[in-house]
Amino acid sequence: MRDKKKELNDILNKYDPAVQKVYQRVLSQEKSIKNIRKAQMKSLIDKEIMQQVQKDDN
Amino acid sequence: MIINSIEMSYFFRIYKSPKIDFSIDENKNVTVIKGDNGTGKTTMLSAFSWAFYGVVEEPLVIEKMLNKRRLYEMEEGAIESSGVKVSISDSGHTYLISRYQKFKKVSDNKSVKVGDPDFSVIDIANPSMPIMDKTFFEGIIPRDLKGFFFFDGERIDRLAKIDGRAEIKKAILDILGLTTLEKIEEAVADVQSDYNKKIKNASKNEMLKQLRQDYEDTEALIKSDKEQLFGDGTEDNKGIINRKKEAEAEIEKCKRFLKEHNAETVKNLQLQRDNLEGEKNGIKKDEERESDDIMRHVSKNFKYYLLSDRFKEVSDFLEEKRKKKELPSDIKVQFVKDLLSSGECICGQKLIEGQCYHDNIKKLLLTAGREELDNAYITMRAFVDSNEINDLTKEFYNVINNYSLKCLGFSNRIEEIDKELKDIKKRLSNDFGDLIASHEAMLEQAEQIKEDCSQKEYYYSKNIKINEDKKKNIESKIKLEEAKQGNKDMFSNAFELSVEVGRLNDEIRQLFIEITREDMDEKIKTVFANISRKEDREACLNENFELIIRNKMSKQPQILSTGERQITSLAFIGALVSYAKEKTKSDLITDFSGGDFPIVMDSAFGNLDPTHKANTAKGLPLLASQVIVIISDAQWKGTVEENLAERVYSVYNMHDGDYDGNDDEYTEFEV
Repeated sequence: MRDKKKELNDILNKYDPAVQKVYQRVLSQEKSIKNIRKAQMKSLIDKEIMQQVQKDDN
Repeated sequence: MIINSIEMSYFFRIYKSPKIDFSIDENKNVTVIKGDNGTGKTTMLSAFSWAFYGVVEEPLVIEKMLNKRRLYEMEEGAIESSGVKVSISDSGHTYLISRYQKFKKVSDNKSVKVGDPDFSVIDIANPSMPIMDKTFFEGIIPRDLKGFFFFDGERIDRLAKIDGRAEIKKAILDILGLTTLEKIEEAVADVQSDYNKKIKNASKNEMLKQLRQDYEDTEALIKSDKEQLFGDGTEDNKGIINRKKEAEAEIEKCKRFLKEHNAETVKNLQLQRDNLEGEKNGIKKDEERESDDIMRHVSKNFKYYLLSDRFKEVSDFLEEKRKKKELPSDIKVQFVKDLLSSGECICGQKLIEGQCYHDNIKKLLLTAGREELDNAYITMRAFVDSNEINDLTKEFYNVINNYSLKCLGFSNRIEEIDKELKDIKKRLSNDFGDLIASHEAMLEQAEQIKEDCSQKEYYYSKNIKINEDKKKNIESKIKLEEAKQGNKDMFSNAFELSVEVGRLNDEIRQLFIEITREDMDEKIKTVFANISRKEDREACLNENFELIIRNKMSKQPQILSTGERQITSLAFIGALVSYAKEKTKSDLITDFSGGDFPIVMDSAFGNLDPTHKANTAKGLPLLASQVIVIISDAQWKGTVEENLAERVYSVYNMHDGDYDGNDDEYTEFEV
């Protein structure tokens, strides 16, 4: 039986922490929105990416 | 999720509002609804689709939802509701989902929809707070997955064909919750496109370059003008200001020479010239002051000139309206109210409520003027009547006329002074010898230089001021462009990050698809083993998402008979339901949250031979916790009934109703 969580983590760990953070935050926030629409998803991703970029700048 | 009951009202073939209770018994988990072809099996499947998703199954159409018998009975123009109410239990809550469409009878054979469907979801535990979200049920079973929980025989057959691959792959993606990952993929692409646009906008370096060039050019102009004005520190360019000062010193020197001359006449002429020049300067200052005053006067009072005629026109217009009673009367609201409350008119007549005098006075309130409107009107009328506007206009012209007279006086006096100065100059140049004449020539030259320098000083100072302002303007534009440049770096970083997020999402998506396919493959094998009669064969979902049957030993794919195709598809559906059930335990990615779901099957046994029928009938109750089978009498009788009987909770019979000889227009139910 494949270990889904391990394989998922292996993939995540290949990426920069900022990328991981954005992705995980998008997924965790998406869970709280029922039937998320594409526009909402876009704004969620944009918000998370911009926050991360601005954090890096500071 | 469990479906407790369904109540259909005048819904297609259904007359009145029969209710069907479904089995919630674990051991007898099958409810059978059977009937001859044409008795309304598609109507049953549509009843679920309509309640949950607001759609009906082909060939039915919403416009013809109202039951024909009911339509026949109705008066023309009467309105009736048609629809479905379903009770479901999910995650510890019991909900009543209802969706009804109103129809109006137009003729015996025709009805038209009235408004939008009425939809509501009521949580039985909290009935006073209906849930109005029309997509409520999609949170339980997404619409895309509807076909796998409420399906008909045709789809069962199609799934195991080559062209069913896309459908199978999509079902897996949907049930996995991968639609979320797809949404991320699409949204990331959109976000990237936005960032790109922003980068492009910020990248207009040409603009910044041009602005910086403009800034440099303007600075150079200011520098050059300042050098003209103040000099560059060299003897060749002392600057206009210094040259003017030198000229002024030369003028002063010449005048002093003349004023201190031994000859009384020369001295007096120079003193006389000084006085005249002093007077001339004084007149010029007065002229400037008067000019400023008159400009202020015109700006302040010009409106009276413009408005004087209009004021009168407007006032006359209002007065005419008032006379025609098109404006409120001159009786004020407050006055009428005071009369009514005092109970007595000014003429002494008693005002008693209900009597005609009281009513007449009360009617005045309708036309009585509001105080502020009256006041505004009175003020305007008084203004016009008092002739104040005309006085103000006259005063406006008086001041201007006075100014003109003063200007004429100034101009005449300056002309006289200039003439006298010219005479003095002429005498000093010609009448008192070479020395005086040469000083007079020097004075004239110095004055010309001074005049020339003054003009240039004015020109260059003005230029410098204009260019200083321009420089400030360019500075702020440069700051804005530089900020955009900063944004460009920010958006470039954001773009890079979004590309990486997209890559990560894609990798995870591929991982999940593959893992789920493997899981589904295992489950299909298990379900297939339960309902297949051939033990040497196994069903599997290959890497291309094709449902195939292969030899267990050789792993060679086998050609599927129609019956085998149907069995394989059922195995897939069973596996899908089983996967959904287990998915509640998964916390990786959610969209469809999973859970225990019923299966509603229409014509599941269509093309099966007796052995497959028997196996499918035995295996069907194992596919889901609740199974609702919609079946024809012919398919039910015999093998299916014998093999399914012990798991059946209740059987509902649908048969054609009969009224006025139109026996094919509605369905009756009996248990």
